[in-house]
Amino acid sequence: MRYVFLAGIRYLLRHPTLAVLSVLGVALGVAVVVAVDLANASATRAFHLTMEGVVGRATHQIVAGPGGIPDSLYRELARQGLLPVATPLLEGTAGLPDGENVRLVGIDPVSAVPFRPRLRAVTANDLQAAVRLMTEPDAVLIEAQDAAALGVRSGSGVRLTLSAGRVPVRVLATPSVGMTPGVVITDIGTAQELLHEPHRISEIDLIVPSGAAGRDMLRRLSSALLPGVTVRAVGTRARTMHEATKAFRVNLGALSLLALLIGIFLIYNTMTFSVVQRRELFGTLRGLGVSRGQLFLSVTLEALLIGIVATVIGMALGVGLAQHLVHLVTRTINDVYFAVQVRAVAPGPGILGKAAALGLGATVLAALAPAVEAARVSPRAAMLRSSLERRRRAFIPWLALGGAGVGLAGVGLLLLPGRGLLPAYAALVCLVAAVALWIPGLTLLAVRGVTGLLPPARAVLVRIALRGVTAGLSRTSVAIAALAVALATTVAVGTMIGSFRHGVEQWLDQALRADIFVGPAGSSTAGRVLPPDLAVRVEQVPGVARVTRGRHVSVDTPFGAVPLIAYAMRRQDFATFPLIAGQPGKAWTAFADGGRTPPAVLVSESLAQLHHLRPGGRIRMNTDRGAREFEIVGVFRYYGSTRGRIAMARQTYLRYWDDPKLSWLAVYLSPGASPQPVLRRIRRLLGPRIPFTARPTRSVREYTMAVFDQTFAITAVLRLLTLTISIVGMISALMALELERAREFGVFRALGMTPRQTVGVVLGETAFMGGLAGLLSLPAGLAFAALIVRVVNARVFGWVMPFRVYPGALWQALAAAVVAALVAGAYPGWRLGRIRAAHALREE
Amino acid sequence: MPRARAARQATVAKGQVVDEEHKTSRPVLRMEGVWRSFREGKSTREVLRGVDLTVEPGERVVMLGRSGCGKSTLLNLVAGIDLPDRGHITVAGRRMEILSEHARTLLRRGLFGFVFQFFNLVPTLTVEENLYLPLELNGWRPATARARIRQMLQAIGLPERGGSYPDTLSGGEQQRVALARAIIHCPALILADEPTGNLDDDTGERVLDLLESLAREHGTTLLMATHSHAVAGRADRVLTLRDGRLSATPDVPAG
Repeated sequence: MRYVFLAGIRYLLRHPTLAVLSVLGVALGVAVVVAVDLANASATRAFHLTMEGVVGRATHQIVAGPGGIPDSLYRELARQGLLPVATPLLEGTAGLPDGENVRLVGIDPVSAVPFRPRLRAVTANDLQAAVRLMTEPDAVLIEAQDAAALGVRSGSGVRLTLSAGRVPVRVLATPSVGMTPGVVITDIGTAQELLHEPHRISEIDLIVPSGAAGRDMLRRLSSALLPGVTVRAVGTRARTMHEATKAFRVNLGALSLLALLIGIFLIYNTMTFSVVQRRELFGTLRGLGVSRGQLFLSVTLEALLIGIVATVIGMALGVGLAQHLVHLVTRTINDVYFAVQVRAVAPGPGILGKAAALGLGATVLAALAPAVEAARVSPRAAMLRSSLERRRRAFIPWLALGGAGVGLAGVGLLLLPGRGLLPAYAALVCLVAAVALWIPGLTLLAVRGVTGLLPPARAVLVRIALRGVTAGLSRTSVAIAALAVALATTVAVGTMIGSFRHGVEQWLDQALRADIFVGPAGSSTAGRVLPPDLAVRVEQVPGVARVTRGRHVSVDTPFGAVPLIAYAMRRQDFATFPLIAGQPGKAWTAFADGGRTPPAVLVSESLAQLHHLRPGGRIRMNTDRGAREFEIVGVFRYYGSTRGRIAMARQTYLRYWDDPKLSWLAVYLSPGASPQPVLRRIRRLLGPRIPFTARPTRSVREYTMAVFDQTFAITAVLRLLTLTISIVGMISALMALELERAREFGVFRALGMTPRQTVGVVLGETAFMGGLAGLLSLPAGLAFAALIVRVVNARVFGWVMPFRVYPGALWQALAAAVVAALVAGAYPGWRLGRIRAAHALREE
Repeated sequence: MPRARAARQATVAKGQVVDEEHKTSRPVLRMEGVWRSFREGKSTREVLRGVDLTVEPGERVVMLGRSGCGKSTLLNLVAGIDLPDRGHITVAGRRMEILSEHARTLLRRGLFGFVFQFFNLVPTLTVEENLYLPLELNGWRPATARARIRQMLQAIGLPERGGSYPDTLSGGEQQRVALARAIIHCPALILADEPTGNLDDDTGERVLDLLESLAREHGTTLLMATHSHAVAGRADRVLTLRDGRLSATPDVPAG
């Protein structure tokens, strides 16, 4: 057995190019999986650390609506003895000088000790430090990593960007223990001043004992709370926010697995080539008494060796790639979901273990068929030199039948009731498999078709090139399939992004009708509020016809926290809500009636899809007046967030929440008014220190589309990697085939074919393969795109997007296919052109 | 490993070839009424039609016949590589056609040695490693195997080429290595399919000399297929395969 295996390994070493290409293909696939997993895991870990940094060891929280909790309630509950272990907290968002956003958390340093025991070293034990935190008005604690990134240390000054502008604070300490990156801690009184929240706190953290005592405590506490104030378990908020990003992370993961799938093709091709090349040898070994099982094991072990090397290289590459990908991932999460900060990726054993299992598993899976083929070689093969392909070609109708069956299974999965993601992705995999299974038959038909068009007994070189494709059909069809699937993915994702972009542009055209938008500067705008009198002063600017006011908050619903926007708008501006359900006229009448019972709201498409809401239905929300039911009078299209939105009139909002603040203004100019002078005056009102900007709506639209484009930047990177892997696969397959046909080309050269003609034949063959892959990728890609747009994205995001085909993307795919194939064929063609006929014609 | 087997191996390695199993009155090979046909398109070609053959231990039997007459098919059936449509094949007392494929494989590794027309050495193993392969398959101990390999390299006249790869050897040298591989594990029967078909006359003569001497030295029975009457002249018995039937050849005297 040892020498059987040794013979196989030396065979691989004698064909280093093939072995290297196989290793490279699987390594790249593993690298992409590791990088995406690491980036996702790092962002998730950062999020959990941030949450931990905010809530510490609290088991429960007392929370209220957007207006927060009056700190007098805390004092009253403490006086009644209802808060044995509790601490108040005020939370907001602040910007650091390096542009990163952090959570600004105001704590009571004394009562916070049980919740943040490791902070004891800075506060309670060090009395002077605790006193300074409480008494110095601008003292903050910044975590050591953040401090190092900013270049600050104890005693340094730093400016935080808050709603009121850029505010100087002083760094009291930079602890590395007891704090997490992305959180700045200060005294609660200081936080109330910095955030302009006098006498308000965000929540009261509790440590509730488990069992009957804890339940009793919660019962007594709940009965003492004001309307609109509730007590909830700590995990709820974290779970809600984590779920929000799940779809994004799952999509990335699916794309990375596709890259690995392409890598599997590479291993299959290499091992199949090596088995076919060694068929006679296997026959000899079988004749000598090597059993089928021993041959199967030997070929599998060879593949496993490739897999081990490739997986190790892939993991190293993946960690490096993750350093770049994590910035793309966190930038998207910051732009679209919530503030999170990752300064470094740390590969854990779980991710590396998964990568190892995937890499090795993929290798073994790819090697199964060739290993079975090797085991099936009859000892008679040692005596025979007949071609294997004729026998394999008999399977083509069965492959096509199998493809049809798999395709139908995919359709069946789509017809299953429910909104599960797993059936949708399984249907996508079935579609990919169906395409791959049809390709051998389609290749044969294409070759026969083109050959039939050639003039009889002429164009011999073209016939040789075409015949070359079918001579090794079991290998060429795999290479064509790999390239076609990679290109189809490019077409599909490009079509999906293009359709989505078109939908977003159409939505923006309808939603952004104002001339000027006054809102928070930069990304992650949660918690920012406008100066109280700004709206009135903007209305007085010459040239301003009217101003729509908006308040952006998060409200508690049975589905968790949902963003809500309260609008003060006029009838003619209601068209900014493109309704997809509900009658506009009736919806407006109900929406605008602030005294209506039940009060009316609109919900966004994704919220309606995900929670089966429709006009006429009800949605319950926790308000400052207690839990109330609101009637849904319309569903509107909203692509601004996957979490969904609730829209209500500001009058209705003020009826149920004690929150008069504003988050943004939409300014409409008088007919004929010039926007530039108005902009200048509004900007003068804002001043340089306040972190809000006034922008023409055109620039808001441009900014939104820029955020959209950079959200999909990571997708573009993954598409490019997938295409690269398939090109590597094509090179590997063509190299293998050309080497196998070295003797045949030796005969051609002996008969008088010039090196240039030899190269031409090879390039013609590869161009045909590339062109065929490109052509097949178009309908396949559009089918994938339709599945992604109509089913996957609808289930993931709750959006129904328009489906648009972009001819440019299709031509690009075709061109990429031919170029890729020509690049792949250049080296094998060059090698065969230089072949020495005498050497190639030797028997052994 | 059973002691008797290990002792036998050690004895063989010392050059004292003692094969008690082969010193038996039982025929090494008996074929009775063997038929074999192949489908070719829509028709069926009968390659062997009721072949009867008995080979005694130590015999040198040559099968003559033109190319494509079925000589290789007969050898395949003997080795258990192929199965007859009808008839019985008994090798060293074992009925081949009723054994499973795995059992035939195990039997083949111990009972047979193969010599092919195109040498069929493993190109990625050295000469020494090619010789080690059948010994490893038969469970020889490494020390005993190494001694045996040295002995065989000496016998075939290539004592210094153990570390060479097959593609650095001439055709004759490769076939000598193939002979050594076929006999190194002391099989009961060597099956040689056109062993000199790919060699020039002089080299072929030397290879045949070596084959005969090794077979005689080890008491190994030899069944050789060839189309060359010159080769047939070295045999104890010459048979002709024609029209699917095996018969004695009166024109070619046995050696």
